[in-house]
Amino acid sequence: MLKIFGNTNGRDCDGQSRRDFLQIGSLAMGGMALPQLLRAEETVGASAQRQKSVIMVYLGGGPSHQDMWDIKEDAPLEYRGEFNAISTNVPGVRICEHFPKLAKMWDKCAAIRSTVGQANDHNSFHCMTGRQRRGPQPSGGWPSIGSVIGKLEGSGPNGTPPNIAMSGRDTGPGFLGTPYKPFSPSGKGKQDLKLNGVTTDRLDDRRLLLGSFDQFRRDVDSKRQMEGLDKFNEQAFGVITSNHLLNALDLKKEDPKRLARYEVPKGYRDVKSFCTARRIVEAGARFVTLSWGGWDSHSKNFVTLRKQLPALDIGLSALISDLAETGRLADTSIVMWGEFGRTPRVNKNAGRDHWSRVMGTFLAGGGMNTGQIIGQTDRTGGEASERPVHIQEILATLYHNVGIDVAKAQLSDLNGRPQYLTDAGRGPMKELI
Amino acid sequence: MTAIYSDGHTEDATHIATYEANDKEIAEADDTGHIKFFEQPGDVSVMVRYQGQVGVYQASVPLGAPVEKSPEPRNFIDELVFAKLKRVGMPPSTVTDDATFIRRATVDIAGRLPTSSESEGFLKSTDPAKRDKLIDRLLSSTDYADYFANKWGALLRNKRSNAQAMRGNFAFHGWIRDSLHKNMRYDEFARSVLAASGDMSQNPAATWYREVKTMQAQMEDAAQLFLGTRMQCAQCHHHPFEKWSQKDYYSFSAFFSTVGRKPGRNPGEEIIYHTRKVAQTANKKDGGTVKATGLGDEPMDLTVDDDPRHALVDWLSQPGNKFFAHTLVNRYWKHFFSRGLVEPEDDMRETNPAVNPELLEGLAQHFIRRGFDMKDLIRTICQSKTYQLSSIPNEFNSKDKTYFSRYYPKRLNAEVLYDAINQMTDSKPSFSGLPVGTRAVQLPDNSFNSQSYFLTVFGRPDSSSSCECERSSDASLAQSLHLLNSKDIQSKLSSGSGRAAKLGNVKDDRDAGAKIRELFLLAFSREPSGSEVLLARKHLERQIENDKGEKKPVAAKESYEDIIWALFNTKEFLFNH
Repeated sequence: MLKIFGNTNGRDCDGQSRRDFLQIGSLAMGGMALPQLLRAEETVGASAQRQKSVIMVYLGGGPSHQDMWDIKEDAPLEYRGEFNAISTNVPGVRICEHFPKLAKMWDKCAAIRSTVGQANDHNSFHCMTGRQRRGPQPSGGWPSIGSVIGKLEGSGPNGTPPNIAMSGRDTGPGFLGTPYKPFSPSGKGKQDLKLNGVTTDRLDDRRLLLGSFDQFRRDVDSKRQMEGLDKFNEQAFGVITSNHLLNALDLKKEDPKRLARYEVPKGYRDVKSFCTARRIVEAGARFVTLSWGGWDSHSKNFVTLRKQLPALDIGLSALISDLAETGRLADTSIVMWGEFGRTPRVNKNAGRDHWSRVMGTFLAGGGMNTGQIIGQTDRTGGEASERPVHIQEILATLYHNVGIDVAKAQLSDLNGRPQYLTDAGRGPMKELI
Repeated sequence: MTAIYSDGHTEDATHIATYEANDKEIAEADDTGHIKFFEQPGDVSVMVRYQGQVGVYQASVPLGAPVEKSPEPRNFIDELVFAKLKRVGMPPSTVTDDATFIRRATVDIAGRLPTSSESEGFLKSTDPAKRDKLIDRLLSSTDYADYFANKWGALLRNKRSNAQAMRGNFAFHGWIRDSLHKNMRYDEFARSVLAASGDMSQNPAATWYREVKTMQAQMEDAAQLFLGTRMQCAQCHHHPFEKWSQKDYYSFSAFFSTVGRKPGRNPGEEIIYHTRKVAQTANKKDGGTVKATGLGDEPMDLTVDDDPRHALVDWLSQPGNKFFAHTLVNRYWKHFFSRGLVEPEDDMRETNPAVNPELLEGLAQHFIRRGFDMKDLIRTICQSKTYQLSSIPNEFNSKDKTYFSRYYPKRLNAEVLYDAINQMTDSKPSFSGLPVGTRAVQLPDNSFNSQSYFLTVFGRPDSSSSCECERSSDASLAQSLHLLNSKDIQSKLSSGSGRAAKLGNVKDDRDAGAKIRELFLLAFSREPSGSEVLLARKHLERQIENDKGEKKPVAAKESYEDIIWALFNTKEFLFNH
C-alpha cells in the first residue's frame, strides 16, 4: 500500500503520486513510523528519483537588502548608499556592482526584493519555520524546515543524515522531537563520525561479535522500533567505515581546480564552506544550513560590505557553477537570506540598523524559473510596494522543490493537533515554479 | 448517518460527514463512510463528524483463534484482559521467565538494571512469592522514587529557565521525590501542586507556578495532566472532536483566576497566594462572566475567601469524578505496558475510547477504593499475570498491539540507558554541581541535558510540556553513531578503573566462564547460553596478526571491552522486554 518515491514527474509506476504518499503519512497520527519509512524506501530503491536537496545560506546579522538586490539608484544619497547597480545577463535586471560574477549568471538566479514576515529578532527562527519565535506556538513548538524534510523524507542515500546544520546550532525540531534535530557535523557529532580509539579491524571484530550476540527475536516488537534501530546501526557502520560523510567534510578531497574557485582575496571572509555544503549535498543530505555571518553593520556598512559582497559573490557563483557543471543544479535549491533587512536611511555612523519591514531573498537552482527579480520596494527601500512575498511562501516553494505539497502535508503537534507546514493561502510561488 | 435538524426534519448526511479511524493499521474509512479493515487484529474506533456533532463507531477486529488456556488470573486485571482475549480469539503468550521478569520489573519500577547479585539471587530463590517480594522491595527503595520523580519532574515542568531557578528546581524535585517515596496519596499530591500557596523556598510545590504562568496555561496543564483532557483547542473554537466549548474553557480556567504572585525572599522566587475575590473570568467568546465550573458540571458558588483551587481539587478527587483517577491509572498503565488503554494517554475523550473500557473503569475504581494509593496501583499492575506475560509471540499474537496478549517491548529511555551503560562499564557519571556518581535518573531538572551529549541525543525531555510525548522514542543516526562509536563510550569501556580493566586484570583469577557469566547477568539478568559462552571465549582467545605477520594474543582487557560493547548494543539490552 505504501509508496515513497515517485519518478521525475512525481508519479511512480503504480501511478501513485508523492502527494498520495504524504496523505497516507499525514493521516497516521504523527506521520509514518520510521521503520516503515525505511522499509518503503528500500522497496522502491533510491534510484527511482533523483535526490532533491536544499542549501540554505544563512547570512547571520541581517544583510542590507538595498545594497545587494535593490539598489535605489534614484534615491537621495543618504538612502541610496555608496554602491552603484550593474546590468546582468538578464535584460532589465540590475544588481549591486559588487556581484560581478552573479551578474554574469543571473539567468540561473532570482531575487525577491519584497520579502516580509520577519521579526526584529537576531534569530533564525522565522526564516527556518516561517513563524514568529515570540508568536503563538503549537504544543512542542514549530519545527524548522530542515526537521520537517527530515521527518517526511527520511535519511538520504548511504544513511546520510537528512538535515545537517553546518553551524552546529540551529532552530530545532520543535514538536517533531530530538530525533529530527539537525545533525551537526562539528563537535561531538563530528567526533562520532570517525573511529575513536579503535581500528577499523577492531570495529569489524566488534561488529561480528555484536551480530552473533544480537539474536533477540525482532518479531517481539510489532512497533518495529528494533528494525529501525538495526537500520540506523547499519547506516552508522557505513558512515564510519566508508567515511563518505567525513570525506564530504574534508576539502582536501576536493578537486583542486574546483576548490580554487572558492579562493577569496586576503582579508576577506572565507567561503570554502560553500564548497563543503555542496559536498554534503552530494553525499546525500536533503537540507543543509550554512551560516555565513558578519552582516550586522550598525556602523561602517559600506566598508563592511565592500569585503562581504565580493566574497559572497565568489562563494555563491562558484557553488552555482559547480552544481550546474555536475548536473545537480536542477535538483538543488539554494536560498539565501538573513534575519531581516536594514534601515533605508544610512545612520550617522555610516551604518544601517535593523529593519524588519522588508528584506531581500536570493534563490537559485531547484528547477525554479530563475533569471528574474520578484517584487519591489518603495522609493527608499523601506516597504514592500509590489508583490510582498511572505517567508512562508518561500518555504512552501522549497518544500515544493523537494516534493512536499504544503496544501496536503500535515504533522501532528504534541497535542495531537494536525498542523500544516504553512498557513492557508501561503503556497509555492507561481513566479518560480 | 442521519442529521436531525432543529425543525425536526431529517436528512441522510452520510456522504457529507467525515470519517476518521484512530488506528489506520487496523482500519481506514473513506469519504462515503465505508470502513475497510486490514489484516491487523485489534480494536478501532471511527469518528464521524458532521458540523459540530461527533459520534463514534467502535469495532473489534477479532483474530478468531481458539483460546484454550490462559494463565490463572491473579487479579481483576487478568480477568478483564483474558476475557477480552477470549472474546477476540487471541491466545496470550505464556508467563515470562524469572530472568526476564526481574529485569523488566526493575527497569519499569526502579529505572535501573538489576545488579548481577540481585539477578543471581532471584534466579536461585525457590520462594513462590519471590515476584511479589521483588515488587515490594523495589517499591520501597529510593530508586522507585528517583525514577518516578524523573517522570513527574518533566510533567510538572520543573525546568531550569535561568540560573536563579536552581534553588526552586532542586527543592521541587526533592519534594516530588519525597512525596513519592513516602507514598503520598495522589489526591493529596495533586492538591499540593495545584493549590500550592506560599514562598517557593518554604513550599517547593509552588514552583509549579513558576513555569506555568498564566491562568490559561495553568488550566490547560492541569486539565492535561490530571484530567487527561486537552482544552487548548477550545480556547478559540469548539473542539471538533470534543464536547468542550469556549464557555467550558473559560469557566474551567476560572479556578485559577485568583492566583496572585509577589516577589519571594530570594531573587527569582515568588510567593503564590489566593487573591481575595470570587473565582470568575470573562468568556472571550461573548464577553460574559463565567464562574469557576468543573468540566461538565454546575457553576460553583464560591466566596471571596474560598481558594477556588481547593474547590477544584475537591471536585477532582470526589469518587464520582470521571477524569481524575482514570487519567492516572491510564498514565501508569502506559508506563508499564508502553501503550495506554486510551492513547495518547492524556487525550481521553468520548471520541477516543479506551481499548478495554471495563479495565480502565476497573483500575480507576480500584485506585479510588484504595485511597489513591500509587504504590498499590503499581503493585497491582505488576502482580498481574498480564504484566508478567512474555513478549515472545505465539503463533497467533505477533501482530497484537492493543489487547495486551503479550508484553510489548520498549526502548530504555535516555536516562535509564545512560545509567545502564555506566553500570555495565563500571564507570561513574559526573554532572557538574552534583556529587560524582549521581545517576541520570536522579538529575533534578533539565539543565543537565546540555552537559551531556548522550542525554540530548537520546532525547531526555526539556520539561517544556506537560505531555509525556515530549520524550520521543524514535531512533536516529546520531544515536547509533554515538553508541557504537563515540569517544565518550569508548573511554568508559577502556577506563583503567572500568569493568573491562578489572575483568582483564590477572589479579581476578576467576575462570573466563565466570566472568562472562557475570557480564550476562548484568546485561540481561540471565545465564549465558552454551554457545554464547563459547563465542565470548573464542573472542578472548583469538589471536591477531601484527605488522610482522606474527600471531599474537589480544590483551584480555581489550577483548572484554569488545564483549561489553557488543552486549550493550544488542536489542536485548537496549529494550525492556
